[in-house]
Amino acid sequence: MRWFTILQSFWQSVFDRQRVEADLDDELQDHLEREIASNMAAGMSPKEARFTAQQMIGSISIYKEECRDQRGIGLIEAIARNLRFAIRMLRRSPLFTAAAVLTLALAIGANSALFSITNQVLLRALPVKDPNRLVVFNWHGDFIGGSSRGLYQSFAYPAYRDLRDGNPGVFTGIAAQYQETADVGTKGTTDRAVAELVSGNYFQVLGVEPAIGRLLTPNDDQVKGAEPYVVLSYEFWRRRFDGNPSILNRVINVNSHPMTVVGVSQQGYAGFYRDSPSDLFLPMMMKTAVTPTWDDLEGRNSIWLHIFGRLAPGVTAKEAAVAMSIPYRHALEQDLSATGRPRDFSLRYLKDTLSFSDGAKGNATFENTFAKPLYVLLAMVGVLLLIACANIANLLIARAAARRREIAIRLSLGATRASLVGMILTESLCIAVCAGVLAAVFSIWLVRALAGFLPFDNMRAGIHTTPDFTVLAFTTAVTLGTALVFGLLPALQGTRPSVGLTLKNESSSISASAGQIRARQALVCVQVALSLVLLFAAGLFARSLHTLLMADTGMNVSHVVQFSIDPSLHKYTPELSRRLFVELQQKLRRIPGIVSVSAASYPILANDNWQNTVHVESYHPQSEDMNPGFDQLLPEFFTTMGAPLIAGRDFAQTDTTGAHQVAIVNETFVKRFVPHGSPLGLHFGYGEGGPMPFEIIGVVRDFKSGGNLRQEPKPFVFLPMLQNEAPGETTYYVRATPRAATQSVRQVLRSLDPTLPLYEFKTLEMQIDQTQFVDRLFAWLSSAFGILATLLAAIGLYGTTSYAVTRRTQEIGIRIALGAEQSNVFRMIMSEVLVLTGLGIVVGAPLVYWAAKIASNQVFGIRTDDPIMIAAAVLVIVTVSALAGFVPARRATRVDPILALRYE
Amino acid sequence: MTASELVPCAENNHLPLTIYKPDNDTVDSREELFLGKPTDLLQGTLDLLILKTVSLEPMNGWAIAKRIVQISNNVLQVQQGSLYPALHRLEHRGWIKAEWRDSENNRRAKYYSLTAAGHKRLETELDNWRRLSGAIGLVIEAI
Repeated sequence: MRWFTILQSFWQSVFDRQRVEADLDDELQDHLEREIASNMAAGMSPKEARFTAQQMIGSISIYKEECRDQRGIGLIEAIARNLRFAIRMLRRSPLFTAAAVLTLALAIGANSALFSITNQVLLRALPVKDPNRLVVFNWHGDFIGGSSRGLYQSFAYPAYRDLRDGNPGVFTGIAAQYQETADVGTKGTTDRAVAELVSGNYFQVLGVEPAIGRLLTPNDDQVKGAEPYVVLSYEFWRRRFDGNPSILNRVINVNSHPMTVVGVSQQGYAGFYRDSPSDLFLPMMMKTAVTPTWDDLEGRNSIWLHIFGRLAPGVTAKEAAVAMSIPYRHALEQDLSATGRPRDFSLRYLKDTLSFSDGAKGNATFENTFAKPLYVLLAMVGVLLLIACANIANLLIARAAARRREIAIRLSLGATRASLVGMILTESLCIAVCAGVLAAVFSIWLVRALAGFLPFDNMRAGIHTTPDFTVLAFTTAVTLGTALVFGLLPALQGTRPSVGLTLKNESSSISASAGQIRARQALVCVQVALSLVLLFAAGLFARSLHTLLMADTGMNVSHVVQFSIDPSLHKYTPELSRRLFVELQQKLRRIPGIVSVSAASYPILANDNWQNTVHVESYHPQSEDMNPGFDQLLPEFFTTMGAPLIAGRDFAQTDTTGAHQVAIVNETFVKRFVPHGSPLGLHFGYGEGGPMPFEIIGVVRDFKSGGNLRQEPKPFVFLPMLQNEAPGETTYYVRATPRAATQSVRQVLRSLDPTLPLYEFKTLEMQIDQTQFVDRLFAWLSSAFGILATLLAAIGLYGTTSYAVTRRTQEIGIRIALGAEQSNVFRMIMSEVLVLTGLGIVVGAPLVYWAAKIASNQVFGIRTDDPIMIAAAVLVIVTVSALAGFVPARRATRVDPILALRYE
Repeated sequence: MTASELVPCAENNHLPLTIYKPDNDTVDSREELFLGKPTDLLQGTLDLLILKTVSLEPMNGWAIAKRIVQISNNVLQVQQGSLYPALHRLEHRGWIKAEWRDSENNRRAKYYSLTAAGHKRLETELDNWRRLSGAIGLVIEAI
C-alpha cells in the first residue's frame, strides 16, 4: 500500500507535472492567505498584514523547488530536461549527429561482432553441469608408438581404461571421446554428419540430460561392435528430423551400419569440441562403424582418444595429478610390456607425466589455433574504437567552443559546473546510445559475414549470429564507456569557468581558449599514433598474406579441382575400394578436357597431417625427429599436380597389395636421411628398428604436400594407394582445361555407384584459401581497420587544422597585411600540421614496436621489425596528414587582410 | 550524485526548526540557539512533530505550523521553508496523505492526515525520541 502511494506520487510528479505544480501553487497561496488573515486578526492593516506574511514566507518559488526535490524527482527531471535539450541540440546539427553516430556505430558494431565470435569461440563454457570442475587429461614425454616427444592430449584406449579403473576417487568420473565425420543415411538420402564416439559414462560425467528418450550409459558400452545405439544432438535432431519425437527407437544408418536412436541430448549441448559441433553420439564400442579402416581399440601404441574427468568435490587439479600418477605409471608399464621397446627407451618412457588442463570449455585444441588471432583482432578493433572516440571528442570540443558563450551565461546565472557537465554528457550519451542500437544491428550482420570467412561448415554452424546476453551486455558497456571516453574531455573542457573572460570578449563570435586547441591537438596526436599502429599492422598482415600466397608451392595449383569420397563408410571392402579408385580415375580421364586425374589419402594443403616414425637403411639417427610426413597416392599424382619427379619412376597400376612395397620420397627426405649415394633402391621401415619393407623407387621435388602454406619443407614419404590395406577417405585431384570439363564428375561417380556421396567439391585454390583463412581474415580485417583508422585520423586532422585557421584569421590577415608571402602562410600552417603528425608518430613509435612483437608469430616470411614496413606506414600517415592539412592551408593563403582586420 | 548537484537550485542552509530562548517571546529579540547545518536529529524531530500534530485530525500546513508554535509555548518556530518540503517528503513516503477541501475563504486547501504506515512510523519515532531524550537526560543528570 505504502509503495503504491510512493509510486503514484512519483508517477504524478514525472508525468503529471502541471497538476503537481498547480497544487503546489494553491497550497502555498492558501498558506499565505491564512497568514494574512491571522495577521489581520492580530490587528494589522491589510497592507501591513500582507507585507509581514510575505516577509515571513519568503520566496515561494524556492519552496516549490525544494518540495519538488523532496519528491525525489529532481534527478529524473534534470535528466529529462537534459535529454530534451540534448535531442534538440543534436537535431539542430543533423550532419554532425549523423557523422558521429555512424562512426561510432561502425566501431562499436565491429567490436561487439568480434567480441561475439571471441565469446562463442574462446570464452563460453560448455553448457553442462558445473563445467569448472571438468579437466582435460594431457601427458608429456615420449610416445610409445614413435620417436616423438611432446605434450599430447591423445591417449590409447587401453590407457583410458587403466586410468578410469585406477581412479583413486579424485574424480567422480573419467570419460573419453573421439570425433570423426560419418555418413548418416535415412530413407535413401545420405548426408555427412559429425559423430562423437563416447565412453559409456560420458553423459553422466558431463551431467548432460536428455531432451527426449535417454542418453547412453555404461551398459551401452560393453561389447565391442554390438551396441548399435545412437544419441542425436538437439541441433541435428531439429535440422535433420524437424524435431520430430517419432525418431525415438527408429533405425538410422551410420556409415551403413543400422543403429537405433535411443534419445536426443539436451538443447545447446553439441559435443566436447566447441569449434566443431557433434551431430551424433555413439558408444565407444561401435568404433569400427565410425572408423571402418582402423580398429586400434586395443592398440597401446595408437593414441587417438581424448580423456576428461570431473574432479571430486574438494579435490584440486594438482592433487588429482599426484593421485593419478600411480594408475598412470601402471598404464605406462602395461604399454611397455605390450610393445617390448628397448630398455633405455623404457627408462625414459616411465618418466612420462600426466597433467590436467581446464576442461570447462571442452577440448582446447581450438583455442591454440584461434586464441591469439582473435585477441589480436579484438585489440585492433578496440584501437579503432578509440580512434573513433577521439574523432567525436574532437568534434564535440569544436561544438563546445561554439557554445562557449551560452555556457558562460549558464554559469553566471548560477548553474553548477557539475550540472553543465551532466548536460553535455547527456548529449554524448544520446549519440552513443543511438550508435549502440545501430551497432547491435550492424554486428549481427558482421558476425554473419565473419562466420562466412570460417572455412569449416560445422564451425560456421556453431557460431550464432544473434547476440546473446553477454554480447548485449558487452555492447552496452562499450557504448556507455565510449560516451564517457569521448564526452568527458569536451564536457570538462567546455565548462571551464572563465566566465568573465568569455562574456567580455564580445568582439569575436569565435572565441576559443588555448586549452581547447591544445586538447584537440592532443587528440589528433593520439589518433595519428593509433592509426600508425593499425596501418603498420595492416601492412604486415597484408604483406604476410601476399608472401604466403606467392610462396612457391612446388606445384601448379591452377586448373585443379578436388573432391572426396569414402567408400569404406559404405561397406566397401578394401579390395572393392581400391577397384573403385582405379575405375573412377580411368573413367574421369576419358572425359574430354580433363588432362590428368589422381588421388591422395590425405588432402594436400588442408591442415591434415599424417606422420610415422621410420628408420632408414644405413642411416643412424642421433636423437632427432624421425617422423616424416606420409601420404598415399594413385599413379600420376605428380603429373597432375605439376610436381616433377627428379629421379626414379612414378607409381604404376602394378604396385598393388602383394607386390613389392615401394615408396617415393621428396628431396628433403633425401637430404636428411640419404647423405651419400643414390636413394633409389634404399629401404626403410616403420618404427625405430626391425624390418625395412619399403623400397625407394623415386624422388620428387619438394612441394607443399601436407599441412598449409606456412609449413617448412619437411621429409615426406609417398606410398602407393593401391598397396593400402585399409583405404578410407580419398581426395581426387583433377586437372582440366577448361575447368568446366569437371562438371560431369558427379555423373561419372553416379554411374559407378549411385549411392556413394561426394564431398568437398572445389578448386585447389579454394582449398588453399580455406586453409589460409586465418591469414586472409587477418589481412582483410586489419587492412580495413588500418584504412578506416587513417581516414578518421585525417578527418580529425582536417577538422583541427581548419578550425585553427578560422581562429587565426585575424593573425593571418595581419601577417599578410605586413607583407607575408602566400607561400609563407601556407608553410606556416602546413608545418603545424606536420609537427602534429610528427608528434603523433613519435608517440606511436613505441606502440608500433610493441605491436611488431605481438605480430611476430602471426606473419609469414617477413620480419616484423622490417624498417621498410615502418617507413611505409609513416609515409602513408604523413601523406594523408599533408592532404588533410592542404585544404585549410590553402584557405589560409586566401585570407583577405582587409576583411580579416575589419573584425577588430 | 544527489539532485541538488545536478539541478541548479537554492542552497538549503537554514534550520528546519529554530528554537528560541523561552524568556524571549517577542519576534524582534529572537536569538537562535543552534547554528550551522541541520542535523539528522533536528530533521527527524520536525518529522516527528508533524506526524504527531496531524495524528489528531486532518490539518492544513498553516494550521500545523501554528499548532506546533502554540503547543510549544512559542519555543519551537516552524519555518515555512522547512514545513512544506517536510510535508511533501512525508507524503511522498506514504506516511501522511493529503486531501483537498474548500477552505473558509473559498479557496482550495490541502489537508494532511496520518496513514496507517504513518501511525506505525509515529510509534517508532516516538519510541526513538523517548529513548534518546531519556538517554540524554540520564547523561546530563549523572554528570
